[in-house]
Amino acid sequence: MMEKELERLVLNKHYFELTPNEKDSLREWCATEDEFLHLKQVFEQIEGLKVSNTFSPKRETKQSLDDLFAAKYQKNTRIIWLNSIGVALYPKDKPLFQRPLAYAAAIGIIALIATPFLFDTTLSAKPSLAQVEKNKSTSTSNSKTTSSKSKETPPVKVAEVSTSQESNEAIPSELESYSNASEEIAVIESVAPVEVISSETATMSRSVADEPWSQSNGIFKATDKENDDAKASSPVSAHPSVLDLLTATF
Amino acid sequence: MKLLRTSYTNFTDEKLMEAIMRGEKRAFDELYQRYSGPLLGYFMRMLWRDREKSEDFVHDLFAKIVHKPEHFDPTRSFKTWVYSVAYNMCKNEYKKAEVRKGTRNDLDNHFSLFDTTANVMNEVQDRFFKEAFKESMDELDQKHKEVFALRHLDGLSILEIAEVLGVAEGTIKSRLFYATKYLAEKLKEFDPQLNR
Repeated sequence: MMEKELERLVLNKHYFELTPNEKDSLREWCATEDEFLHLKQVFEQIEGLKVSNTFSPKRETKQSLDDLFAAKYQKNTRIIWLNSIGVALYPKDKPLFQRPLAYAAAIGIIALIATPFLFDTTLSAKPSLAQVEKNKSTSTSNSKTTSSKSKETPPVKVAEVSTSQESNEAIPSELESYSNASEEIAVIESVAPVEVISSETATMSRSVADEPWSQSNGIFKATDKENDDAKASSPVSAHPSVLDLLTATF
Repeated sequence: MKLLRTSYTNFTDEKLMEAIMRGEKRAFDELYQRYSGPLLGYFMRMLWRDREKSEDFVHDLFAKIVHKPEHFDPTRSFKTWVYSVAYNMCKNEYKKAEVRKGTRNDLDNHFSLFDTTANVMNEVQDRFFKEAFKESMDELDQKHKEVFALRHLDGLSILEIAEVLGVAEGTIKSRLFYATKYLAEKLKEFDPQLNR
């Protein structure tokens, strides 16, 4: 019988639990129950000794061996200042993804991939989209001009708006009229009568000047090009119902 | 280039030795972790429980592994090889001790230096039995004792012990049988039923 099997039997079984076959196989080692118990005690004692005999060498022993190992396998390494940088950037005892050089390389790759998307100007260069953008900008500038007056924004020198379809098509000529804003302001100021106008009546050149009155009371003044006449919107105070409309809207 | 840090805990002893030959420091650390304690215990038993001497022997043995790892044949079992080296170191030490003492063989006297009976009567029954067991072990012949210790305390198989000591497997079995019977007989006076 193998020694391991014998140990297992002796350690794990009582004598009365042994089968006749097992007793036969153990006969060489222990013929009687007393001998079996003695043997069992010896093996149990050995198990206890295994636990208590756990030695560990001194730390100095390991340190000395570490030095020996370093001397044996790293003696060809030249100590130059560049080595320390190399070790800092690329420590060999760490996995690749924890090395600073790997971080830098990853950031570089991401930047390289992202650059074409960040500086891509091909979309804005398409003429059809540019046209849409232009119209939108015009309409937004109109709305901005209107809202800027009510919110006390910096004064707009000149804003000439055409609400009809004809005026929409003639944007370049209107843009030219912006340059003559100062002249138009002079004309508007010279107009004495103030009439209430409707915004849909005619093509108008609406001017908003730096003057305090245009900001404080929010009156729009306009000139009718056909009649060479100047008109102005009435103040809100003259039409309280407009305020009711605003209240209902917001 | 390795993406993840290699874990040597699952490596066999032989693979660790191959890594050490390539200069892998952590493989050496793992091997030291596995064998330094058992080898220290082995040297303690073999060298008259001299702690300092045993520490030196552990150091020398691992220094050999560092300096000449190529002496190990990877086709063999590392455990067998390292215990063979340890055993040969002890044999050399016995020879030196013989010369120093001018005696033929005083190993048994060394073993008797180990004080196992101090205050033993004041200990509990288990402790008392443990001490008696150690005494009985020390009384054993050296060749029987080392076989018994290698088998039961260091966990080597019969075949491995045969390789370490360089003797036939049947001889190892015979020595182990004798040692076990001897210990059981010596501890007969301690009735195991009373001891529990």
